[in-house]
Amino acid sequence: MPVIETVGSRTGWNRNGRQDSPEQRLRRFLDRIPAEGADLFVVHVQTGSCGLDSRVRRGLQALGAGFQGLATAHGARLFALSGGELILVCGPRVPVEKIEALLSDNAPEAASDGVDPASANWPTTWYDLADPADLDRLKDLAERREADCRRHQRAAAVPGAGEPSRRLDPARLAHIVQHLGKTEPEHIIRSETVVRLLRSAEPVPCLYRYAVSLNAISARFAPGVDLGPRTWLQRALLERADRLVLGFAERLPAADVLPYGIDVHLAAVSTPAFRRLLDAGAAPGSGAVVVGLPLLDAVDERVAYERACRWVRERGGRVLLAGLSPATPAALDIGRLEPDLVALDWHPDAAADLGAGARAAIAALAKTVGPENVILTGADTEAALEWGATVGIRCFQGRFVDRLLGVVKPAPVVGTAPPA
Amino acid sequence: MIATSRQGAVSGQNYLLLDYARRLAEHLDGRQAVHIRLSRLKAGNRREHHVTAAVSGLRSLVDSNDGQLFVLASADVVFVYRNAVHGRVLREVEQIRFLFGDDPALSGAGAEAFARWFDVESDYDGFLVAMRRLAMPAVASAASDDTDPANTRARLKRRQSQGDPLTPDQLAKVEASLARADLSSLIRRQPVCRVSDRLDIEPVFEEAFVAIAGLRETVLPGTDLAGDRCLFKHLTETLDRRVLALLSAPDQARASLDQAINLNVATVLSADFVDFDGRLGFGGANGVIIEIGLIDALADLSAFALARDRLQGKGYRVCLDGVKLSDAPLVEVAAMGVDLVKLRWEPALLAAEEEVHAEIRSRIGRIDPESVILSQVDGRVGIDFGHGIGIGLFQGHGIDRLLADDKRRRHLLRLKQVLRADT
Repeated sequence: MPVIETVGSRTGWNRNGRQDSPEQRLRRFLDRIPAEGADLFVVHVQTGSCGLDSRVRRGLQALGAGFQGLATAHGARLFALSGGELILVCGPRVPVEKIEALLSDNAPEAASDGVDPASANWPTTWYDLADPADLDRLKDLAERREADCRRHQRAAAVPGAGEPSRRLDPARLAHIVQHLGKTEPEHIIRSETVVRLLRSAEPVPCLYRYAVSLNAISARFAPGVDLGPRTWLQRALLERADRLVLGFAERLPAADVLPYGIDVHLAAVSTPAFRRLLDAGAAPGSGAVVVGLPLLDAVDERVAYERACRWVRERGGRVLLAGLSPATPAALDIGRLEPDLVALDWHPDAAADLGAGARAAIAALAKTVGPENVILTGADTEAALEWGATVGIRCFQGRFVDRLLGVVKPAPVVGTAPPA
Repeated sequence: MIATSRQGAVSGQNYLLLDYARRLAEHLDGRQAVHIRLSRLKAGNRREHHVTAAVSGLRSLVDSNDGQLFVLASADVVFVYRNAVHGRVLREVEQIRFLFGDDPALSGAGAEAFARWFDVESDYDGFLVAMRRLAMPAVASAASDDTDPANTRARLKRRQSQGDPLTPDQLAKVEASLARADLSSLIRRQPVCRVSDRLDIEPVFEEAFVAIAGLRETVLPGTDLAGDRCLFKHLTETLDRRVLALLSAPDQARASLDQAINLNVATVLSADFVDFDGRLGFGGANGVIIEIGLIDALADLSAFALARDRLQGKGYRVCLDGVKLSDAPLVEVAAMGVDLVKLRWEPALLAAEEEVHAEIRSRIGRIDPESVILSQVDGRVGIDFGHGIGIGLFQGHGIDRLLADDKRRRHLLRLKQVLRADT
């Protein structure tokens, strides 16, 4: 007897004690089917081409409810995936006509609008799992969906009940912060060089950037603890490391070869250490010191950000807006924040997911700020450079860039002190 | 009528004056104004009852709809009136001079400057600039106090009133105590209402949230839970899970209005939300709005996009929360793909240049007006401003009061009908 999935069931989660995502359950379900196939068929309803406006969502809800009724009556299994995709796994006796009727009745474009129901139907793919090729295709799809889901869950992870907790938690943060107070800045700060690629593909160093290394912190004070990615506690940790960044920057030699950049948070700008640093370090108009400020601070405390920008520029520094993803320029009009430079964090997945609009927004930003003032960070592979070039970016930072520079890399490499 | 503010604070009058001065541009015919500088009087002469006595004569002109009176935070008075009553206004100002005749401000050179007269019709720009200067110090200092992290005074005040910022150690303790605490008494609800130009009000949905001040008193008195943004955001993720557990209880699910809850992106992508969604059942999501903060969304746009698609796919509506009204031109709301956007009212915007207003109006004009909510509206001035830029949905204490008044009126009306039927 097939088990009905949880959609619409108030008790359904009792059957899913592990509370996995529908994507994970679908993949596990398919893994149990032998490679030679099984006497099942599958209807996969997609919404990608329909968008997810309110009418589509209403239709999808009605369709889901209909599928669930079908599952109850005839024995089937329904998986409601992220983004509105439905996957209905049916036994051989589930009437296809009923499924077709449900698809037609709840079509995203209502027939009453004068649209032919047949042409306005949901985009669907039917799989016959008795055919090993169809089974493979569906397994492939399920794996991709599960991988997407896992990636995003990792990115936005919240420690949940029963999870093995080697993540950063408040107690571990308190422990690390306590040790940070006693450490030397050189132990946890790393440098990378920003290069500008000439048309001849020759890399020209243009900026040294110094930032706190989470790996170094983890290795010294919390071995085995995952300090990332991008949780609020990680941000709290980095804020508390600002003092070390400023202490480190104060000891840097005068920026006579190349400008240097440090990343701090907005709150650090009002500290005496920061003000000392800029008063001593930069001549008006030299642009020798680049102060990286997080986008979140700039948006959250706009007035303070603008004041900080003015203050930095009056002392000859430049402001770099950090912490943008490739999708950010489409979501925010970055030009209004008037940064001197912008750092976009590159990631192959994030870049691959970008639509034409988002790519155009990056290209527009590169024009507004200047192609030499947009830095693609995390350029650890050649693919980053190739991708950046297509959206008008000329400046890069990352391991691949460091390798390109090779022996001519002039930036001092710090942080070689032995672990505490 | 007398311009009063539901904000109650005198500074509300500064906002009202600015708003009124701006709107006056369309009704300049035969308008004049006088600025009476009661703030120059000795402190002993400008107590509240002195000011009340001084303006009592002008109030009668207000009652006859011949003028509008503003008593500012500084105790200065601005009276805008029709030409026809100029003689009476002159007499009233003379009365005020007489009333404070022994004050140094009314002797020597200062006496001339005690009252400044404006022919608004012929010099509207001069009037507007003067009113901006008059009202803006309060507005600007209120704004900078709130937003400047370098403002030591503001920081000290905050620390004294709300306690020291949360530390990681304390956060660990709070999280441990939250695991046992019953938060049901800390859940508050606030409606989002459609408000017409005539102040007809109709609730649209209701937001449920945890009262942070109450939570502070319960779990860690004397500590400012929101004092450290990152630690507070982490704490809200813990609270999210508790709220989800509470709201999916059957009695909470039977609310008549659609329900909105604030969640973090990470929570939407967690197993706790899957559990909540499972309990709601298919179609249950239809009446639920998930509010996600702008900062949380920007922190990881890729995770936000996944959470949004997942929510919308299941029938929830997604509301982008925490967008300051002044930041409306910054955020590409359409690109965020949300169903609703909640803009936070900022009274300081009244003092902004017309170009800033035009920009906000233009940006909001590009969004479906039915999808924009002006939140944290404490008084009439916020509602008027919202209407002026095309917004019809509002939330805030001012709206709560308006709704309560409306309910009371309806109740009285029903009572009256019952009494009539009995007789």
